[in-house]
Amino acid sequence: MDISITVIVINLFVLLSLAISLFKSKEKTILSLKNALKSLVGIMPYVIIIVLGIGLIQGFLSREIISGFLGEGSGFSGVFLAGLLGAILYIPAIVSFPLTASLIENGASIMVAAAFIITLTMVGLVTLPLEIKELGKKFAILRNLFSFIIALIIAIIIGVFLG
Amino acid sequence: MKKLIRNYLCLSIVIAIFIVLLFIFPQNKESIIENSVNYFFEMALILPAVMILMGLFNVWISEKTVANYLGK
Repeated sequence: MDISITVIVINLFVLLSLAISLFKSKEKTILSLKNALKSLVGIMPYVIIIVLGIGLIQGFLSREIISGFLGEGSGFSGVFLAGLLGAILYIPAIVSFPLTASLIENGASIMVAAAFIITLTMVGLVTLPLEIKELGKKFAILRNLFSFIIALIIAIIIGVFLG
Repeated sequence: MKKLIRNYLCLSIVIAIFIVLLFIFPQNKESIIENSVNYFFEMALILPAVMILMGLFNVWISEKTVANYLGK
């Protein structure tokens, strides 16, 4: 397992902020740590459910199965299916690019590949419960819905230019 | 508090389903566990930091300041 630069930067930044806060006021720092612990305990069930869900999805759907499903789809229904799969699956971007490249190698159109990558990053159905909890039902559903529609439009544009 | 208990109850149900699935499909067991553990560590490295940052943010920065910079 490799630790990404983002993780290091965020943790260093938080440590620095914590040090400054501690220097300025001990009480406020303790209060904020208490709040942090409370929200961590509150969010933990969601996190573990998501972790287990992702483990199951990635364990059952191998690369070959995923690319097999998407390779057969063509036209708008293929784009829609790819977009839907991208919305449901949770795959880190770093894994999704080689996966999508293998999709194209296996005969998927550029439009299908683009729809998959875009909804993968813009729409998160697995993480929807968490988003609803943090940002509210209305925000989460509207954001995901419009992201999905616009993702398909972007995919079609990319397909028209590169297809 | 009630909500918290309900959420942890949901969690135990999901864990139970997870374990049952692992027993039904032993051939997928390894990759499922590996993916889950990897993703858990990814979250564990970043989540506490984000929570502390949110805690500091709530204590030090008043709602008015936020509204001034990010509000309507």
